[in-house]
Amino acid sequence: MSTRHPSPGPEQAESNRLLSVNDLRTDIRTDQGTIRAVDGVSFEVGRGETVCLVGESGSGKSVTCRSLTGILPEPPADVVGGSVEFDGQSLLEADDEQLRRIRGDRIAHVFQSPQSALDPVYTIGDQLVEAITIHNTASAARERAINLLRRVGIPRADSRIDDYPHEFSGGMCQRAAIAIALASDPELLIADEPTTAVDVTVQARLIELLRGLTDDGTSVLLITHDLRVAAALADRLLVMYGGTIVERGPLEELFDRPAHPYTQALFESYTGCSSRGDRTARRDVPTAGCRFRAECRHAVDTCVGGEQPPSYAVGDRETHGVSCVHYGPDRDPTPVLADAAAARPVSTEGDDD
Amino acid sequence: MSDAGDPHRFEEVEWDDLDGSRQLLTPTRAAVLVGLVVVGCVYALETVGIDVTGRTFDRLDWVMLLGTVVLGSVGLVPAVRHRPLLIRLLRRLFARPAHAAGAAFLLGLSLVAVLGSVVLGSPDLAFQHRFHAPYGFTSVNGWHAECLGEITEGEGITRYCDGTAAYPLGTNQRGHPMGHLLVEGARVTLTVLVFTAAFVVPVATVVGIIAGFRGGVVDDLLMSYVDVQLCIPAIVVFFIGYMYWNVSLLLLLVTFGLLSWGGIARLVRSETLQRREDGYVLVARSLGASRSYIAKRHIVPNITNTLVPAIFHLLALLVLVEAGVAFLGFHHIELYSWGSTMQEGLDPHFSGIGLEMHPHEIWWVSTFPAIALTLTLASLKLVGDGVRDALDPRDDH
Amino acid sequence: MTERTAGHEEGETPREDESALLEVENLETHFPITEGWLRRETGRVRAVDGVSFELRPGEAFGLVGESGSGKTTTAHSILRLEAATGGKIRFDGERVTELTGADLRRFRRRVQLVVQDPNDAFNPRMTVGEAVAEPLALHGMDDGDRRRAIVADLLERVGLEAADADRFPHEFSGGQKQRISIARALVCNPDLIVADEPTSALDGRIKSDILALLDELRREFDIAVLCISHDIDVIRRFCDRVGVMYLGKLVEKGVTSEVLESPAHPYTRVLLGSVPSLDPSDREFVRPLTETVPDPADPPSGCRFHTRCPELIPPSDVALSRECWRTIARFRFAVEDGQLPESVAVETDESSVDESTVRVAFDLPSTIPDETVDRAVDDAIRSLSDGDLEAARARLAEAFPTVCERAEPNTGDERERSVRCHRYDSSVEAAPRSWMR
Ligand code: SF4
Ligand code: SF4
Repeated sequence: MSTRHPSPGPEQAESNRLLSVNDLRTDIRTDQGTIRAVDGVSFEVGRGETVCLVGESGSGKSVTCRSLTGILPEPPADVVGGSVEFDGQSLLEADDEQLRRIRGDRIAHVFQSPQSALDPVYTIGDQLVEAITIHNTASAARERAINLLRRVGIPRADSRIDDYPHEFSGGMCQRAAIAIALASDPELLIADEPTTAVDVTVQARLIELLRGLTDDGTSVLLITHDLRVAAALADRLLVMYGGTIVERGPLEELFDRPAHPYTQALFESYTGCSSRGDRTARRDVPTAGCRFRAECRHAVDTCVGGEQPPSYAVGDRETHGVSCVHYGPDRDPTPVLADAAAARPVSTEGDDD
Repeated sequence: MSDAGDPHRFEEVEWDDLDGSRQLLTPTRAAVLVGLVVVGCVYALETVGIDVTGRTFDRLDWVMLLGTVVLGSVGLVPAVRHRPLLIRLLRRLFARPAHAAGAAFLLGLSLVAVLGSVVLGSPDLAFQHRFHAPYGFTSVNGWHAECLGEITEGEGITRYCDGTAAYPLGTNQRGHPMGHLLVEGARVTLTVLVFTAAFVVPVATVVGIIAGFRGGVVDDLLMSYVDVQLCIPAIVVFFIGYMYWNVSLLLLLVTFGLLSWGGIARLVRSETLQRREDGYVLVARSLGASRSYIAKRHIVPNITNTLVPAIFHLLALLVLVEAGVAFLGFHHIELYSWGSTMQEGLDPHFSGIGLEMHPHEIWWVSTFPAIALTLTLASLKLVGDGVRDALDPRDDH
Repeated sequence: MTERTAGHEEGETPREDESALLEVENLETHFPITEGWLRRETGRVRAVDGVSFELRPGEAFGLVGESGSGKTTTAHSILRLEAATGGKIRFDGERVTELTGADLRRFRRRVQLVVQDPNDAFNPRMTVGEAVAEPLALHGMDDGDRRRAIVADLLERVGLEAADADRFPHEFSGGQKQRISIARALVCNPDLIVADEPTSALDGRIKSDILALLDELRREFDIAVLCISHDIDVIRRFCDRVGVMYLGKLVEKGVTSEVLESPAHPYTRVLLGSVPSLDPSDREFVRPLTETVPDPADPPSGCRFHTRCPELIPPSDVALSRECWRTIARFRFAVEDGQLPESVAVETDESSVDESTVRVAFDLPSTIPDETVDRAVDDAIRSLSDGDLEAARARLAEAFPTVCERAEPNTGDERERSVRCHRYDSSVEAAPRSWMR
């Protein structure tokens, strides 16, 4: 899917596509050398769709989504290649002014730590009103701000709008941050670990809130390390490892048959069926060949060298792609797929209830 | 041992034998003790009239001796005990040319100050040689009774006297050689530095740590005191003292030094408050570590990033204050502070009574101490930053 | 011989009969709220308020709860990092709060702490070796070579290299630092490790690795672990038994698999029901009655969960369907808390809200089968629509006296499973609801 070129005639899928990222590459330069934090990432987000980027810390998922709208500090980061197209407009080629307008208007960000996203010296209301477009009069903007706070489920919004961020609990701050993000009616909300810092009961409400957004037609690009959050929110899943996407597919399909050895390992860390058992705490991600090679129990000679393996379809499912040589043409993926059954969460879900 | 052979335990430790092996007399404490006893004995002997040092000590000298004992035992003894650490620290300090230059200057200054006055003694009056220019420059002939260099002709009746190697940096209105005056000024500056480092900085740090660590009423009391103290202008107190007790460097040090540590105490307190909540402090507390251990091992080393530059800033400030007060003329007449020397060079009507001259004609009298003062302040700043960087292991490259 | 005393050498006694290693009985830790210069006490935060549990040697006990539930304060009180204001803590039969001198030092060695955030668990100015050896040095081992040997051995056991001892903490990743943290906790041969959110700063497989390591070491050295966590997955994987905390109270306690499979206490159910399922087709959450967590300085009377309890017990004379009662209860506590939905903005000046708007907003049926209830609700709605929140509050509180608000539930005597809820009290006429997710 990533190799499809824009065709002249309007296509159904084409018109539904809001964001498309092609072969994105971002380097981070440090004193010790250059890290290829994002190493050829391609994906798309449709209108009203929730796409979830899953990976552990250091997989490059946050850098990926920050590369899109130019909010990554450069240097040390440097977007070195690829293209990002948002509703037909190239974001990587846009100048600062255009990007600023897009960020204020059409793409909004929500981050993990809401307290740091809010300015402690202004009231929630001030920050919201500021985010609401200038065409509104002061009282209309305030009215709208109150409505936004109500929409994200802040009780007594009309009095709490004058509170300062420190008077809000963590969950309320995150709601306020979402309210600010929604102020401009964005078409795309990029949420980076929005529920990581809050308690589970609050997380449940935030998930319901985010679900409500997609029902209203907003697209969501969700970054999370938590498969549970992904299961609760995503339509489609992208699994990242070592700066590359190793598996992608519709939520149900991927949860039913996690195909990549890394995805399987990730699932196993939830069910606890197997621990890696090795005692070494050091692990380096290789820079060529399959990035997961050093930890993969199915690694073979073909995994070494060259690029990350291309995305092969799993079985006859065109939408479910996996970047592993065992799924290539003339290969038998059965031994790898056999692990899927063991790793599959649904079958072991019994003890969750 | 019943389970000595248990393969599932780590090395067994006889804790009960180890308990109580803690030392009461650490080398640092021993050094303080010995130092105090020695100073005390000398003091006792001198006061009953037995001369053991061959010179008379005034009150300031005693205070300096105490300060040296404090600095030596708290600073030098641990430094010698942990040589590898010290060597690593110095290597990192001297790794950057700017920091190295600052450190070298301060070292040189201290050496000159200590040795200089021993070698040179007190400068003699030599009015006949006053206002000699530095070597390679000239001054107006006739300002001094006796010109040591060649006399050259100028416009009209003016004659110029060349500077000579006898006074390479020139002389002032009393015929004191400038070089000698600079050395004397260095001694004053070193006195300020030692006093501040030995008495003011520890008070500030300890008060800050206690306030931050104890919290509650103790914190409230200490910080209210600091607030009050920060409101008292030291210069006013100094002038009141000046009115009643006459002038001395000790008075200046006590008033300015002991009224100026509030800022550092506040800084240390707020840093302590943050560190107090850190995991390693919690773990140390759960292991039963005492407050003083935690302060010494965990708090102080981790606040050096702000504390060290603040200390060096305070040192520089007090050096500047001393020079400033001396410049204004409120100094002891026998102390040749850079500040007073500078003032003499800038105000020839006061110093060169009866002579028609402009400050720029005797520029060397004010310029050399000004350069010395500037270099000292700059070095303090550089070394402050250098020590901070050297102490931080995260700054390895 | 070291700390390991008699009980252990007898060897193969079955677990159940073994006496407890740690007994916590009615632990209370209150923090005074003070005002002004004289520190006059104006209130108390009841961070921990009557918590009892016990840990047997080698057992892993989990304390789970949300922020503000008092689980960390409980741990700190056991370690004497906070002063307990009431109750008893016994370690190996001795009252912890009364230990002094050599006994206290021994306790300090036998109980070790692993803190939550690996990034601030180490003094950045000390090498890893110094940090791991710190407990030894603090307890009087002056022999540097011996310390170094012990540290080298430990670092290898937790998956690092002996040479790592000379490096500084910032050179390690979060997972590695947590391993070092565990090494430091092991260095004194402890009998109990208190692990405060040991994995909450880690994710995915690293988290799983650390849990596996801790579990393995625990079994190998027979160390009991008190594991504080907000993460059900951690509790499920690691703990033999679990206690659930809410606002300073232990509301449910039992064997982990039983508690997680069939949670009994309504709060436990809400907690578990808020964790997103790994089954993508199951996207429903269990909701509490209201969202606001009460202030621990002013906790609700009776059962502390009653303002949010979806299974609140109705007054005995009220005969309503479960759904209907829940709607009314939600209405009541929302009014009590001033948590009104956006269509019922009472505080604004436009004081006349349509009565039907109120009903719609709270999902209240137009008539309620029970007459007294119906009247009370009617009155309250009328007060609300007049903008008189206070009157509505009073009317509702008076109309629905519930045992949950009146009396504090007890735990009963069961040792293995205890639930602090009136529904499990035989003297209260309210059967427990069955649990279905
Ligand atoms: S390509 Fe090779 S190393 Fe990579 S996941 Fe597949 S089998 Fe493992
Ligand atoms: S006692 Fe009542 S309010 Fe408390 S949990 Fe049980 S049913 Fe709910």
